[in-house]
Amino acid sequence: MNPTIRAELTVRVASIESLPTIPAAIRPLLDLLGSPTDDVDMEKVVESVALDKTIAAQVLRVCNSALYARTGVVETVRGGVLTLGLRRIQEIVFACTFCQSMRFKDTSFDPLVFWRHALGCALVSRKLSALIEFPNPELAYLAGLLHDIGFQVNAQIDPERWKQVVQEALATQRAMLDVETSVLGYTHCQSGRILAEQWQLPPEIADAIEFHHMVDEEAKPSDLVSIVRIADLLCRMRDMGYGYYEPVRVDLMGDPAWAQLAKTYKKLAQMDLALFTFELDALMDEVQAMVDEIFGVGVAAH
Amino acid sequence: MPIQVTTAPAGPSVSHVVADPAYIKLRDIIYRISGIYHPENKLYLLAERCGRRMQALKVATPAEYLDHLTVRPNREAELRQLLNEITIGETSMFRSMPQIDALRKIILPQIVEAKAKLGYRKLRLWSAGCSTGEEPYTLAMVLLEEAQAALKGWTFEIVATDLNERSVEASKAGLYGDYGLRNTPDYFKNRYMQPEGKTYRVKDEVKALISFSRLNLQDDSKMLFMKGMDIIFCCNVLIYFDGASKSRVIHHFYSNLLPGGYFLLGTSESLFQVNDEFRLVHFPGATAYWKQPAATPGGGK
Repeated sequence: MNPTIRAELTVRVASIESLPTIPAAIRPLLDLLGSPTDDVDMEKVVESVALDKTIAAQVLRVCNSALYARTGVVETVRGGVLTLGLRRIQEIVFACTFCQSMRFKDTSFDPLVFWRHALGCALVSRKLSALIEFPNPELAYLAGLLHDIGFQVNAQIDPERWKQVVQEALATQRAMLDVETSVLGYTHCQSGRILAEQWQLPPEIADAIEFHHMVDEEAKPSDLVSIVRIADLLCRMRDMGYGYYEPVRVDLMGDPAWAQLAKTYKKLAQMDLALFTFELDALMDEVQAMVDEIFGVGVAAH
Repeated sequence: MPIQVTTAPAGPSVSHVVADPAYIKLRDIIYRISGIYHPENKLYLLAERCGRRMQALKVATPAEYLDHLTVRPNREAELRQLLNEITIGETSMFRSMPQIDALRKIILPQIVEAKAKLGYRKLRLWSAGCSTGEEPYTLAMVLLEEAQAALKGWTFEIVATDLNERSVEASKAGLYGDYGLRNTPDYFKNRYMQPEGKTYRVKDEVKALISFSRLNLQDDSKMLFMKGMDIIFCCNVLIYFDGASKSRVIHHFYSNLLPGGYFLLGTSESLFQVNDEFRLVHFPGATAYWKQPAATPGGGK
């Protein structure tokens, strides 16, 4: 990133009055990203999630929704971990926490649209990771969830010009990134990275946020960046995009991200991409239900 | 015509039985054999279609019906019956709007730009397996609209073929009722069709763009004469072909397309393991198969 832009954004992000801090509930879960489930102190996780009453209530609500419905009602976070498993609870906590933390007043970009895209990308990143046997699907999930978090930052830094960006993108059907560059002079990739650093998120996540639009052969994208990029493109082509028609053709197999993954993950070559695409349409229902569930709580509380 | 397995109304009687794991097996068999996929949230449609066959066979459970498709002696005939159920009555004009949007907003501008650079101002489209004409007429209306904008000064031709002689004759008549027009925007109906009793007839200016003929896609010698296509539509036709015939037919389509041309299937159809010459590409809400310009010697984009 250009040092001038970095310096300017760092100041601006730090000066956002309502910039949320990362809730304590999520720290132990961030720490266990990448560690084998057996090594995780489950009590510590359960305790920290249960301490944050808002998050705990949302997590339980999602656990008991039709998405995860099991026989019997989940009444405690511990019960949730036991019935759904630690990894699934981890995902639900991430989704609930970040949706909750980033609930800014932004009238220009519908938060439901934003979080549907974010959660869609999280689920597709995880699904793709599992399919090609990328070793850390949870990290991919979180990277997918947060890849566009810079939109939320931009909305806080300069609400007026952000509104202009959204309106112009909608009116011209141009990519958000292009409009940001011309109107703001910086992008959600850059502002998102600054936030990720201030939040001390894992560096791989910060990279996914910064580089998911800038994947080319020379940049040598990481596998995680490549996964998030493919998930992002797929979501935008399957009705989990930014809420407007993007008149573009996506050639995934011709994308440098695909080439990058193909080097390491042999399973990619055997993947039925058409089937993977069709299956996303069912995933969309899941995403919608989960976002509505999370925001349903918020709407009722307001 | 593009046949979607996505928009028929859910029958209340089938929604509760979809959870039966036999439907997942049925879905997977149908995908493997026909290339048509029903995602989890559309399994109710499959259940509905199987339900009709189960009623006809007096079969009580989906698991038992699965036997009819896998182990019974008449399984091939039954599979054909089921495929008929899956695709029957789905044909209409403007069946898949995401596909039409992709054609108008992305595919046509791209092809037009590439051909204009080479000095060509002619487009050739093929509706292969055109059934009773809904698809080619939809394409003709879209092209006539574009002729006032992006395609101004261009000439275009639509070749429409079907195996069934009666379908070809019905296509030529161009007469459609409410059912066939249920997805047609009023604008197109009013501009390009005229009312005739309770039906609508396609106007001559639309018909003039299309040449209808009978063609068996498995007739190799005739397939060799369908060269020079920019875009080919073949929606839910290949589902009845066995693996080897399907591969051969797809290869013909590939050869008949100009470099940079597109091949479009039904919205939930796939060519996985049938052809590896085409490149699968995505548009908003639609997929298509692309013949890469570099893949053919001498082909320019």
